Amino acid sequence: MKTAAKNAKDREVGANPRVRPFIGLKQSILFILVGIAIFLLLETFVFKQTTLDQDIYETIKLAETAGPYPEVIIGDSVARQLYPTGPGKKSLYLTSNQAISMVAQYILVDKYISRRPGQVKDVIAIFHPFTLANNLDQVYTFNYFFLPFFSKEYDRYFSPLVFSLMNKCKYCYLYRQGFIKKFIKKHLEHFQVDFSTSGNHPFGFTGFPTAERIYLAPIAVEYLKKLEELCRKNRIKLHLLCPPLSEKYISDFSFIKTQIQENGLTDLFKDFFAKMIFLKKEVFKHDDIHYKTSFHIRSRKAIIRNMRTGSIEFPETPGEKLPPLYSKVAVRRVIRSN
Amino acid sequence: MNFNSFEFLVFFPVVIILYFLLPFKARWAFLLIAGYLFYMSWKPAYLLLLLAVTAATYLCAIGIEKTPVKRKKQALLILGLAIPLALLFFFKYADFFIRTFSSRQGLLNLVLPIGISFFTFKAISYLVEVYREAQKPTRHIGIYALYVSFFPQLPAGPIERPGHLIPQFYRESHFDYERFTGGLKLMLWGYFKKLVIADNAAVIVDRVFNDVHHADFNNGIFFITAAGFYAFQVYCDFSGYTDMAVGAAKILGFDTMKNFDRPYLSKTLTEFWTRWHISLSSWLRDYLFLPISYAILRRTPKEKVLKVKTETWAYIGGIIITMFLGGLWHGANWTFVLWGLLMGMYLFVGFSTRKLKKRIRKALSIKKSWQWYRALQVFTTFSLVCFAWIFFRANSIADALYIIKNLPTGLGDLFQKVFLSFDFKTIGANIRHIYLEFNIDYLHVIALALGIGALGWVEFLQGKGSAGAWIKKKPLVLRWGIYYTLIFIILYFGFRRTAPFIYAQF
Repeated sequence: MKTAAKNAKDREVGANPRVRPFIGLKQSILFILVGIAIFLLLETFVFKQTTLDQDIYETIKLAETAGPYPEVIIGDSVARQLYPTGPGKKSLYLTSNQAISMVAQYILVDKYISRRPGQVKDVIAIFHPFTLANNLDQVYTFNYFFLPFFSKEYDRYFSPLVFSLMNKCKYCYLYRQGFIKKFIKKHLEHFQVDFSTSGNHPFGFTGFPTAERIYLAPIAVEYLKKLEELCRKNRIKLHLLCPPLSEKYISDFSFIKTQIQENGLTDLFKDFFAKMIFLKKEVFKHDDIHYKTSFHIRSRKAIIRNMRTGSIEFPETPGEKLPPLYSKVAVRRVIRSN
Repeated sequence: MNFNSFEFLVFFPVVIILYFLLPFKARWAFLLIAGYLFYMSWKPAYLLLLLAVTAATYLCAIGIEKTPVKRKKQALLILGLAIPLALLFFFKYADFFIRTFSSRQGLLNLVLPIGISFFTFKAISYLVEVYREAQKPTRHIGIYALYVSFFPQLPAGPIERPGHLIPQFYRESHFDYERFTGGLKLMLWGYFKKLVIADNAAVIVDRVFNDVHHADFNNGIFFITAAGFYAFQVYCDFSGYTDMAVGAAKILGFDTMKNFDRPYLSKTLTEFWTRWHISLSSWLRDYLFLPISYAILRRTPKEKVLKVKTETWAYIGGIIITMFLGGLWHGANWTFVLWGLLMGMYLFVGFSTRKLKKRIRKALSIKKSWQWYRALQVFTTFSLVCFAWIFFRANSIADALYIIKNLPTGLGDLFQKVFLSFDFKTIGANIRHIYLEFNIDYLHVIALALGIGALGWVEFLQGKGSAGAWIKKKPLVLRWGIYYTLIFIILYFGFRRTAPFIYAQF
């Protein structure tokens, strides 16, 4: 009898439009609270190390804590395949990802050498030509540059151009606020603002660069000059090298070479083109940029030697044979810069 | 602003709150403004297109109703159809025809206005219904504009019929908790399909289809796998979008039409087209196929032409033209046209071999109700659909033909290794090698596999009634467990960046 009366009352309440919004309110609040609790538990115990951009934080930490080294190697993810981030025997490998841009490469070098004044003699920068086209307009710019670097702590490093490019991101100001940024970094690692749609592309180029469209982004020009200046001031030799490229990118690089000349960077890029070599397409992953895992693990030394010397004999040292799968790998062609 | 963007996650809750706080009289205006803002988030100037299509079809519909003269009605209908179709043609197909009949010079390079194919068809549907006197024209221009620009349906449909949606705008609805949570659950399932299944499958599909000539793809199994995954990608992408759209409309108190009904479980291609993109296939049936077929029948007085029944000619004519235009509707590329024609050919072959199939069944004493026979039919239909998807997804006809040519490559060797030599070690090593080169996080592969498994389970439950009803009967802990699992799988294994919906690009 009591239940029937209660049901009748419920029906009455449900029929009243003014009361309807509050039906299920308790249940909804409980659902959200339980969800938050599970989320925090998962974040604390299960998914604490799945961050997409984990590697850049490791590189920053390394720049802040590493001991003295006479040689520092910086570079993109191709460089990282050759020099995995961490302390090496004779060099410090501050390698990371192209998405961090030349701005962050500069910050990393400055961070380390300002801690170790006078101890660094050489900085070797290894960049795939596409890395030079980064104008803070990449898919992962948010994760690799905005979140780790674009904060007040680093404001002194940023030129007006950096600010203007970053401000093209919607809600940039909001995401830059300490607690929001911290929350995104810690709990929303899947969240991303796609900077490749922000319209920051120089020369109207969009999408992935191709052999014919390899160019120097304005931001790369600015920060390569700054890096050169930083090294000069600290009496450090700066070497710019290009990792062996896929034969897909064989070209005369006329566009970028003109840019280099116009911007007075000819000396810096001397070795970049002089020692540039090309490998068969088969040794590259599907992006035609990174080396196949099996290839780079077993032929790392040969790749490094050839990159540094520009040699096309591959491999040449006895006992350093290529795996059978790649036994026919040969360097197709070398383009020597004028 | 895609449904899977951060902006929408802010925009939509704000719309819900304001919508239910506003008095009923002001709600249509609010939804209309929300729709226009939603549309302008892509390219503000393209709002003019939406307004032009709305104004043209609205005025022509009023004119059709007012004039008693049939010729005038026809003229107004043609005018009303010509304006939206001309805009559609200009923005979607101008470059396609320039490329086809001229050189690459003179291309307009126009950005395709989002959802143009969908709202144009919606407006055409309204106009034709008014002309046929199946629908009274709406005098209230605001309500009609809302019908065209109802934001949950703007990016990619469903292509709603006026008789179903317009009356709902006049009906007052209150916030309903059941409806609200029902809509949210549907949206959640849509997000799961899009972010976990479709976007993760796209990683594998894109690798293969964007580089078909790569030396690594030396075995047909790559192309078969990619085509199979694409079947799931395109289905989960579009049906996921539809679930979000239907869910969003449901939260606001509107019922929208069903767009998918477990299409991959169809036993024939004809059945597939009654279950796949239902709002488009029924649109094509009502406004293209049937009128064309009737026109052929009317104009052919003889019972047989070339010893073939006129009915069959009407079917062939109707289906080929409809599927050709249906293919072209999907995109300005010959690959879509070929896909449409291939689908048309499937339907034609299915239609013309009905009696033959019946005779074979009778001769072999096969009953239609047998489970294995049904399974074979479903498998055959699915395989044919996957084959057609190759044209749909390929970047060019040359790529599609290359894939088809190489489909059987190495399959005999693979078959021998697996079934005759039981050389699973080599197979395993190859799979591992390819997996490493694809560079996909294994957790995402697991999520993709689990996602497809979950999809199968939900479709199975839907076959028995409704997955929602099945969950509702379960105890609270299990129900919430299911919802939390979906939410956290989306959060942790869903695609990390906003990938556009495939159909929103049409």
